[in-house]
Formats: sequence, structure tokens, C-alpha cells
Amino acid sequence: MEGQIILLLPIVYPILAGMLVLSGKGLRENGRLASLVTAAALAVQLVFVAAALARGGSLTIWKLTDTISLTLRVDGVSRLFAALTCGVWLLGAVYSVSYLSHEARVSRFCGFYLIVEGALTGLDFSADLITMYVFFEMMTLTSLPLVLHEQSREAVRAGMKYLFYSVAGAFMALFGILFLAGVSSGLAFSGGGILTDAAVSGKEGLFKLAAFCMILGFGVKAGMFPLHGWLPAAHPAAPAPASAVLSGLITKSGVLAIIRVVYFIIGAERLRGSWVQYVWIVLALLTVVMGSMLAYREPLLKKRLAYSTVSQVSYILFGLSLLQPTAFVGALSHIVFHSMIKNALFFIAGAFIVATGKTRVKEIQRLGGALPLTLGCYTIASLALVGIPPASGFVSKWYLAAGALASDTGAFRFIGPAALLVSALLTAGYLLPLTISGFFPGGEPAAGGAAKSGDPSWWMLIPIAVLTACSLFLGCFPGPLLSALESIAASVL
Amino acid sequence: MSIVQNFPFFSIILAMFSGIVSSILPGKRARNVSLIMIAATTALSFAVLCFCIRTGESYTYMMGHFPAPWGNEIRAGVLEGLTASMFGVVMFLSVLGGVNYTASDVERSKLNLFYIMIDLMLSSLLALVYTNDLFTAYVFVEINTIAGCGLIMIRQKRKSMSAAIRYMIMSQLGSGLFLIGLSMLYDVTGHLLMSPARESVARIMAGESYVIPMLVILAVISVGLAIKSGLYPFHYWIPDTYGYATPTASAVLSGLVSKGYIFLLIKIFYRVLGENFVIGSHLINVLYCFGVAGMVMGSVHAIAEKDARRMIAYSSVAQIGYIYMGIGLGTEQGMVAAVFHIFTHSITKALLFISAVGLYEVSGGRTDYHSLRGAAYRNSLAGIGFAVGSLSMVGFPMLSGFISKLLFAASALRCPGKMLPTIIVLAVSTTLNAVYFLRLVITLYSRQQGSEKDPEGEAKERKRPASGKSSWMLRLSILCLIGLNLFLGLMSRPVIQAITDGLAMFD
Amino acid sequence: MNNMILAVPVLLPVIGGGSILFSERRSRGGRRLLSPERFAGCLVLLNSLIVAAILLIPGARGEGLVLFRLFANLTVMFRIDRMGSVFAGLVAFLWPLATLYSFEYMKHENRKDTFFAFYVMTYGITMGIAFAGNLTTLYLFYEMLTLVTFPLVLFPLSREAVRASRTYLYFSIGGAAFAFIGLVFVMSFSVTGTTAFQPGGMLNPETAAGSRDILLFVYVLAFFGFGVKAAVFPCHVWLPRATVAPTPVTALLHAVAVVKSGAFAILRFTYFNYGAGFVRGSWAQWVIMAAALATILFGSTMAVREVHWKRRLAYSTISNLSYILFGAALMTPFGLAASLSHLTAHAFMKICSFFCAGAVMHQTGKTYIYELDGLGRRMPVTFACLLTASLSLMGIPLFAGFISKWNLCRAAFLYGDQYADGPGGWLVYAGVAVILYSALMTGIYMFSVLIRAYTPVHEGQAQEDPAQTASDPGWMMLVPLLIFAAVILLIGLHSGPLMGLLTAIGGEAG
Repeated sequence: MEGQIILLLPIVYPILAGMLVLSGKGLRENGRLASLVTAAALAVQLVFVAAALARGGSLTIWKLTDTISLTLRVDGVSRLFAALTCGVWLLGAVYSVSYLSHEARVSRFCGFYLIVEGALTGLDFSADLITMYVFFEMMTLTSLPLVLHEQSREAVRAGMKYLFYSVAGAFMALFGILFLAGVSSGLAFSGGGILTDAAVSGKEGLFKLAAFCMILGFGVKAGMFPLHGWLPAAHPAAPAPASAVLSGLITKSGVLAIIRVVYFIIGAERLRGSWVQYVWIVLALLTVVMGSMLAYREPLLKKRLAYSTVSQVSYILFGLSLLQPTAFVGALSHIVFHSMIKNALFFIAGAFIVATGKTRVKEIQRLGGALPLTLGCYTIASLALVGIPPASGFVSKWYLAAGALASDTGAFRFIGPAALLVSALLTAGYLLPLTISGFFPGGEPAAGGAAKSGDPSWWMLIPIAVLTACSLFLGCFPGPLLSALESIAASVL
Repeated sequence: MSIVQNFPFFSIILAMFSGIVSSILPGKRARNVSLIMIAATTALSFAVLCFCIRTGESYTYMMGHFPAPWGNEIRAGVLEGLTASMFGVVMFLSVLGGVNYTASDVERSKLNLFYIMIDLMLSSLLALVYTNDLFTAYVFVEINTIAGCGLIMIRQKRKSMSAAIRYMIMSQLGSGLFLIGLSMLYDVTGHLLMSPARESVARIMAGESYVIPMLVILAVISVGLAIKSGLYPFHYWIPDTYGYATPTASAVLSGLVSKGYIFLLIKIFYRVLGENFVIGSHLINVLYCFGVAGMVMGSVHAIAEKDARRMIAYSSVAQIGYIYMGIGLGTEQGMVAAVFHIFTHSITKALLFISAVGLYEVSGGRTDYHSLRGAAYRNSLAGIGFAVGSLSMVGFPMLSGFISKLLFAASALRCPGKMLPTIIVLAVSTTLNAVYFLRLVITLYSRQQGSEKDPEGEAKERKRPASGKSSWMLRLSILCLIGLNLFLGLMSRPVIQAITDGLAMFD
Repeated sequence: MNNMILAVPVLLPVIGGGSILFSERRSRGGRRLLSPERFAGCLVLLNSLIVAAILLIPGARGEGLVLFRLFANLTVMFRIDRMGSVFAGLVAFLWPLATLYSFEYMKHENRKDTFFAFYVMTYGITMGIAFAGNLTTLYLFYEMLTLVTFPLVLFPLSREAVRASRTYLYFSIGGAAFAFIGLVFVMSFSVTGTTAFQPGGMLNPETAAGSRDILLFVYVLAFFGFGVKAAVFPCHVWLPRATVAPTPVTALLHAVAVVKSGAFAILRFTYFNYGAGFVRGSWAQWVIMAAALATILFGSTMAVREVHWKRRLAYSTISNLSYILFGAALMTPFGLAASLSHLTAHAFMKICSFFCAGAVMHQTGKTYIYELDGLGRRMPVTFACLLTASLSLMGIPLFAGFISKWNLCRAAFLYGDQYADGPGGWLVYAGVAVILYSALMTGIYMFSVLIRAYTPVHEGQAQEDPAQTASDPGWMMLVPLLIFAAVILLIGLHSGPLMGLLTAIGGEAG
């Protein structure tokens, strides 16, 4: 091992902590204690991550073979993702303290929750394609128990679907990795791409196919059409904190992988104008619209949010597919904003479901009186997602649209923003009814649908509030974030 | 002229004489006489073989005082000596191994007749091997047929009777055709002695006269002998004949008699008609096709059989097909392969039949699959013998069948036109052989499940003397045959060398 | 050429195993000095030590050993080169562990003598295949392998076992019959007239060039002939049926010894008799590559549909063997190295999987996938090993399976780079896609078992089922499992030395 060993710390520590939580006898009985321990561990993790990010540098962990080694490195992108991940994860742990008190086998959930955080941090810190692939697979496998947690028939089916879609996507991407391993002497990430013209000459067709396979393959994790099918199955089946991080962060790992592949290995220039780019744009826009429509028609609340994720993540993918600086910034900022918003929404949904005992949107009524704070946060988050200024969603959507108009992708310059607009309308359509029916119930109270208790406990409320506040705050004062993102964009485009 | 050169003549006469003598002896004595005679003639043949190897050439032996081309002649060379020795050994072991079973199978009063037939058969086989005269060949062919009929009929069961009749008819058909061919040849060449006839034939061929009659002669002789040796599609008498005769007889008939006719055919090809003519006439190709067809169809029929003896009989059809395929390749290596397979098959077939005797003895005398189940545990040596025989048929390395296959395949490589079909059919035939032989071997080695034995079989088993301990003669015979098989499998070089030399001096 | 020590690892188990058979007859019912298991165990262990000594002590293997002359120029001889040492080492490592496992597995069976006798004899014969210095010897021991493994398949003596053993026998002998054709042609067209293995092939260039097409046809025939044991479609039929045999037999023989012998024979025949250069680029190469790919597809897909656990693993074996054959079909040095790496890795992965299945069967009697709910908690060590093996089979990095799959796919891409203008060049890329598809299917069929085992579905029923009382098996079955899992991880993390050796083999032979 050579390099900054501290980079290894935020990866190994949560994994070890998770394994301890899994095996700890005392925690098995006391779910609440397990969640508290987890939250504390994650707080420590936050410190480690901060230290690692501050230190920066790179690290070669291990040589798997002569040509493949596992390496880590901290750059702008990894800083963004690692910080985001850790922050949201901590909030999720805090939320679980109260939420999971209704569940069984909490320690198992918490253990794997910690381990996935370690794997994700490893993914964020990966410095080359193979390391990223290793952590990608690790992340899929360790997040599987989170989906399976409820052990209901639905959960098992969802878990299998999740595994198989993810593995299929990973293998599709592996095809591309195998090709790239042959044309390039190393696979370390470097802004702007590492391929030379000589390397690719004579194999353009295969190269484009490989690139497409990688985008599609990693896109499975990001829920891009046509391989998004696991998302609507997995999210509702898992407990709310798991759904939250699945939607909020694990899908972003697919996005991260695509960013690394397109911008740090292949290089945007090589794909510009090719069929790969156009197909990618089409698929992304299709997902945007289709996801919103499916969300609009979906009666189950958590599934509705899952479809919403499908749609929103494809905003990001659309932005990335334009290969244009402004759009890139828009995409990255939407990563941040969507994570926060969607996590908040899932936490809120969890609170709603616990309060009313119902999972269908139509049956969740009369919340305004019972859970005012929660519903208020819900409203703010929804507005942010729709893209109403000054909430954060507006900023990212603006950049995306501006980037689309400025890009040189023919008709898509207009089709893109149009699709985003349609989707925004649909978003309003599927998110706001709850608000409306909550604050302005009107009509007959539906039998048994009314909220029983008041606002949830502080453990659940604080994360919700923090996330909502951030999404609002960052919308009003996006400056620092945007400038950081612009510098990343400059390094790759 | 050394004494050894008289031996061929002596061996033939000795065999006939002991046959005559046995007619007045009781069964057991006749048996002993027979065995001693066979051993003696084998020794004589072996001496001839050594002599010919030493001198490196074959010699002709005048019978009576009339020189060629008017008198009768015997010709002995390496190949003849080797074949005669081998025939003798196989016959000895077959008779030895089957002694007890024969004694129980055949009526006591008729037992000496059985051994008379055996003696006659040996004498006619030896004559076919050594003779240099066409008419003598015919005479002994007939004697052979009669002896064969006698051997089949001796059991006096209904099936054996009808089998004998069928055998008689088919054999006569073959002999008749052979006689016709013979007569035409005499007519055209004016000679009955093989070597002078050869010169005549050569002259005729050079003169381009009588071309069609020569072709007809060739065809008729070939078909006649092919019928008698059981080439597909003239084989339909074989399953009944070999199937319903007593095992010693089956071993002798399928192992030796058919080979005798093939040997005669080879002799006629080399010594009378000449290889060039034979190959040029494309009759070889016809034989090849039939041989190949026999290889496959024989095995296919065998798979369908439920009775072990008939199954082994059908496998003979397949193996004869191998030999004709070798002949049909039309090259010297092909002929070497065919002759080697003659030896292999005789030994292996004898091994199979004699081991089967041991197995029948412990299965209540029944021969269908069901009764034979687990027989190998009741008589382990017979089981091993049968397994070795089967593996040799399949062509397992270290056994003689493998060498045969190698020879056939290597010779096929030199014939571009026939190479591919030969090789593929070899492989297919091996697979088919595996199916039916190993099926039986598996049955032999499967243990009885629970107690499914039927009371009838048990009762019959008690009637038979042996139940695990067969006589020493049977065991010795099986061991010797296994040994011979292994010898041919592991140390085939001298034998192949002898065959090649023998063929070189055959004409 | 008379290094007698080479004959010992081959003959000692055969004779020793045979003696177990005969001693059974003698002392029927009486007490024996050494029970058959102990005797077999000592024999196997001793043999492995001898093999280890031969392989590791420099100079021990000498020039080889000629046993006897079979026919003309064909001799039966042993000679260990690097490739042979890889296979021999693999077999020698696995056999004692498998024997240890079978002690406990077969504890309550009758006729243990027969079982252990043939189990040990198979060891010797497989060693003969590994040590074979020419094609004749390989063929001889190949046929003998059929004969000694056949009673093991027959062992349960149920109707299915009889049918399965018959199928096995017929297919094997049929395959050997076609491989025999290859033997004859190699003998006839070789430079020396023998069938000795020579890296890079030993065909006489002039005569071979003249009969190229017929030689290629014979190559394809021999490929399918040897391919019967390597379960190439359509000659794979016997393998799923043979799973009726006891698990130690299925695991060792039909996942390691027998099928790997088939693959090993094909590798020897291709690279050391014909020579990769002869076949590369010809129509024969595409035929065998297509056959290998078809088998991979078939095996993986059938495995997903199969609900009987051991048969599922059997189909997985069928598919994985053709990975090895795909690598062989590339006819390049790295292709050979890659296929050897999968030969090694898969041996461990598959034997680990089968042994886990066997442990479950032994402890609970359950054989179908849908009966395994919740067993992951009751038998944690067993299922942890199964998890390791599954991850490796799927090709997850840090496990052995990733290394071999990576090598295979890289070799395919390298082939595409080097020989891009071949007519069937696209086939190698399709091959990579097929391998990845198969990896996905592997994930499906292995993980569906694991997910059920670890997360039993709670439907409110609390049935009384044996799963409640199941537990991990004894140490004799667990230790081999753990060792295999450890090796899988070891190869996955530190494959350098192994790959160095295999690349060297590939370099000299490819």
C-alpha cells in the first residue's frame, strides 16, 4: 500500500462497524440501541470523511493482478459525492432511531446500513475503473439485505429483481471495461479522458458499442429506461430509511459511474455527436417523461416516489448527456438537490404511513391537522422538486435548460427543455395533491384514513427538517456550490 | 526336405483319423482323443510356422506322386502356419472350456458324435488353410458344412433342428455358388491347381478375352463364400445358428468356421485371381460396402436382442463386417488389418462364448438378461472373462480389439476415397458395440435388488451342478483366452510382422 | 526415460484401491486391520504427498518414464511438463479433502468398500491422465477413467442410478471412439510417428498442409469426442443424470476429475498435438467456438430453470466447462492461459458448491431449491462457504472467478485485436457477451438459493420442518469447505504466481 492511508479509513471503518453491529449480541434484542449506535458511528464517520477530504491525495490499496490494482484518489467529484453521502446517511440513521422501533431485527438493518456507507465511500474515492467496479458490485451486494429486510414475499421478489437488474447492468458495463482495458494502458480517471486517437482507431464501431454498454449498464443503477424496472419494486418493499438512501444515493452511484466513464475515461469529445450521445439523450428524456407519467398514475405513495426518482435521476442523466458545461453543472447540482429532496420526501412518506397506517395516496388524508410540521416540510420539498423558485430545484432545472439550449445537439436543444417542463407539471400533479388534501381536506373524512397521532418524534422530524431547510437554503444561496461545480466542469470539458 | 514340411499333411490326416477312431469310442474317450489331437495338430502347425519363419519363404508340398499341374498340392507359409496354429489353439480352448456344459447339453449316447464332428471340422479347417487346389478346397468346404450341421443339430432341440436346416440351406446355396464359380474357372483356365490357374488367368487378362466370364467368376465365388461366412446381407441364418447351438459349437462356428471361408476367399484372391484383377474389378468396393453395412446393422440388431446368445451372434455379423471392410479397402495394410482381426475375433468370440457358459451355469441355465442379472458375482472368473471380451470388442486399449481398430484406421488413411466413411463407421460401430455389450456386462454386475429371485430359477439352479465353482477346465480355458487377448493387445508387433511377411509370400 | 517414481502416484492408488475390493471378499464379516475408509484415506494422503514431492522437488520428475509399447510407435509413457503439473497439483490437492468429506458423508452407507475402492482407483487414473506424456497414454487412461468411475455412478443402485450409469457409459465410450479417430490421425501425420505432446503441436507441416481439410474435420470430431467428458452440447446429457450419485462422487468426479480430464484432454490435443497455429483461423475453430458458446448459453439457461439443486449445479458445470473450451478455442497463448486459470478456479468453486449442497442434503435430506428456506441461519458456516463460491462463480472481483473471467474476456479481446480480419472475428466478441450473460444467469441461479436460505419468507405459518433442527455438519465436512472457500479468496486476491505460471505455459504452447 502506498499513499495516504487515511483515505482507507472512511471506507474500512463503517464496514467494520457494520460487522460489529451485525454480530453484537446485545444489539440484537434492543433495536433502539442499535440505531443509536449506528447514528453515533456515522457521526464519527463524518469526521473521518472530512479528514480524508481535507487531506486529499491518493492511495494504492492492493494489486489484484499485474495489470489491475485497487486505487483511491480524492478529487472534486469525489468530494462532492462523499460529503453528500455521509451527511445524508447520518440523517438517515437519526431518522431510523424512531422509525425502526416498529421493526424487527433492527441490528441487521443497521449493520448493513453502515456497510453500504463504507462501500459507497469507496466508490466515491475510486481512482480507476476497476476499483470503481469492485465497489460498485460490493455496494449492490451489501445493499441487497436492506431491500430484503422485511422478509415479506414482496420484499424477496423485489430483492431478487434488484440484484439481477444491478448485476446485469454491472456486467454490461464490464463489457465496456474489458474493451477499454485493451485499448488503454491504464484505467485511472483523468479529467477529459485518457484515450488517445491511436488507441481507438480501427475499432470505432466496437468502441462506441462499448461506451454505450457502459452507459446503459451503469444506467440500470440510475434507473434509466429501459432497465428501470427494479426501482419501483425495490423502493416500496424496503423500509423507509432504506428506500430513502436507495433513491437518494444509491441511484446516484450509477450516475457517478457514468460521469467517471464518460468524462474521466472516454472523454466527452469522443462521444460528441455520435449515435451514442443521441441515443443516450433520447433514453434520458424518455425516462424523464415516462417516469413522471407513471408517478402521476401510481396509487401507492412509496411507489409514486420511486417513479419520481426514476424521472428525476434522468434529469441528471439528460444533463450529462448533453456534454456541455452548463448542463453538467445543472446535472451535478441536481444530484445534490434531488438527494436531499428525495430523502426528505421518503422520510416524510414514512412518517405519513406510520401515522395513518395506509400506503395509498388517496387514503392518506387529513394530515394537515395532525402533522402540520411534516406536511409543511412536504410542501416545501415538493415545491423544490417541481422547480419553483427560490427552492433549489429551480436552480438545477434552470441550468439544465440553459445548458440544453446552448448545446449543439440539434433538435434536442428544444425538446429537452420541453420535456423538462412537462415533467415539472406532472411532478406538481403527483406531489401536490397530498398537500392540498392535507391542508384543505373538504368533503367527507375517509373512514380510517385520518392521521391518528401528531407530528412524529424529534428523531424523525429533525432529519426531515434539516433536509428541507437545506433544499431551500441552497436554492436561495447556490453560489458556493455552483462555483465548486463549475470548476469541476472546467476540468472535464 | 525336412520332416517339418510334412506336418501340414500330417495334421490334416491326424484330425480325420481321430474322427474315424472316435466313432467307436464312448463319449468321454472320444473327448480325450479329440483334445489330444487338437493339441497335437496345434503343435504341428506351430512347428510349421517356425520353420517357415526361419526359412523366410513358403513351400509347396506335393500330395501323391503327380506333380503340378495335374496332382494335388499343399502350400505352407508363415500366414498359413500362423492361422492354423491360431485355429488350433482357439478350438482347443473352446472344446476344453465347454467340456462340462457339452456333457450336460448333449445326450450321452450322442456325445462321441459331437467330438467326431469337432475332429472333422478341424481337419477341414486345416485343409482350407493349407490347400493349394481348388477342388480340394471345395471338398473340404462341404465336409466343413456337414460337420457344422452336425454340431448344431447335436442338441436335438426343436430350435436347434430348425437352425441346422436353415444353416444347411444357406450353406448349400453358398457352396453351390462356389462350385459354379469353380467350374467356370476350370472351364476358362483349364486348371484346378491354384498357381497354374493364376498364370492362366494372367494370360487371359492380358489377352482381353473372357473378361465378362472372369467378372462373373469373381462375383459368384465371392458371393458364395460371403454367404458362408455371414457377410451382411447374407447373414440372416447366423443368429439362430450360433444362438441355438451349444456354446462350444457356437464358439467354433462363429470363431473359426466363418474365418476359414474368409481365409479361403483371401487365398483365392491372392493366388488365383491376382490382386490387380480383384481390385480393378471394383468387386472390392462391393465387399467394402457390405462390410460397412454389416458393421452397423449387425450392431443395431444386436441392441434389439434380449437373449444373450443371439446378441453375441449378431455381434459376429458386425465383426465379420469389419473383416470384409478391411479386405474391401484393397490395400495391403487393409488385408493385414483384416487378417489380424480374424485372429482377434476368433479369440474374443471364443472367450465370450466360454465365459457365457460359466455364467449360464450359475443362472439356472437360462440365457436371457433377467436371469443373468448378477451372474458375475456368482462366477467371478466368467464375469471377468466376459467383461474382458466385451471391452475387447469395444476396442479398449491394451486389449486386442484396440489394435484391430488401430490397424483398420491406419490402413484407411491410405485410401483417400474410403477414409472418411471407414473412420466414421468405426467410431459409430464402437459406440454401438458399447451399447449392447456393456449393457450385458452391467446386468451381470448389478446386484439383485431385494429378493426378486423367482422360485423357478432357484429350483433350476439347484439342478445344475455349478454354483460359483466351475470346473478347472472352464477356468483354465477362460484364463488362457484372456491371456491370448492381452498378448495380442500388448505384444502385437511380432504377430503383425508375421502376418505381413505371410501375406507377402502368399501368392 | 526410466524415472520410476512417476509410475508410483498412478499405480499405487489403483493397486491399493483394487486391494480394498479383494480384501472385501476374503474377510467377509471378519474384522479387518484397517477399515476401508482409513485405508483409503491414508492411501490418498500418501499419494498426494508423493505427487507434491515429485512436483516440488526440482529434478524429481526427470525425463519421463516409458511404461511399455502398445503398438508400432505408440508407447505408454509418463512425462510431467508444466501443464501436467498444474493439473496434477490441482487433483492432488483436492482429492484428500474430498476423501475426508466423504468419510462423514458415507458414514451410514453400506458397501463402503466398493465405494472407497473405486474412489481411490479413480485418483490413480486421473493422475495418469495428468502425467500422460503422449496422446496414446492419455487415451488409455481416459478410457480407464470411464470404467472406474462408472461403478461410482452406479453406486446407489436405484433405477435412476442404473439408467444414469448406462447413459454415462455409452456417451463416454462413444466419445472415446471419436477421439480415437483423432489419435490415429495424429499418429499418422506426426513428424516423429509418435503421439508425443509437443508445445506448439507436432504435425508434419508438409503432409499436414496437403490434407488440411480432412485433418480439421478430424479435429472437430475429436473435439466432440473428448468433449463428451467435457459436457459439450449436445454430448452433455449424461452429466445432469449422473447427479444421482452420492455427493462426493458428483463433486469430485463430475465437477473436477472427470470433466476437467475432458477439458484437459482437449487442451492437450489442441495445443500439444495439433498446434494452435494449425487450427487458428480455420473453419474448425469457428465450429468449436460456436459449440462452446452454445453450451455456455444452454447450460446457464437450463440451470435457471432447474429446481433440483444438484442438477442445477450440474448445468452450471456444463456451462462453466465451456468457458474453458472457449478459451481453448481462441488458439492464442493467452487463451490457453485463461482457460487453464478457469480450469483451476472452477474446480474449487464447483467442488465447494457441491459440497455445500451435499452438506445440506446430509443434514436435512432436502434436495430441491424450494425446500431450503431459512437454512442459512441454521447452517451458517455451510452457507457462508456457499456464498463465497457463488460470488466467485458470478465473477465478483476479489474472488477467483473474477480473475478467470477477466482473463477469458481479455483473451477474447486480444484475439480480436490480433486477428481482426478473420471471417468469424465477431464470434469472439459475441463470446464475451455470452460469458457475461452466463455470469448474470449464474447470479440468478446461485443467488436465488442464497436469498431464500437467508431470508425465509414469513407468511404466518410455523410449520414443523427439519430445517428447525438442522445444523452445520461435523468437522470432517466443514474443514474441506472452509479450505476451498479460503483458496477461492486467495486466488481472487493474489493470483499473481498462478497466472505467471499459466502465462508461461501459454507462451510456450500457444
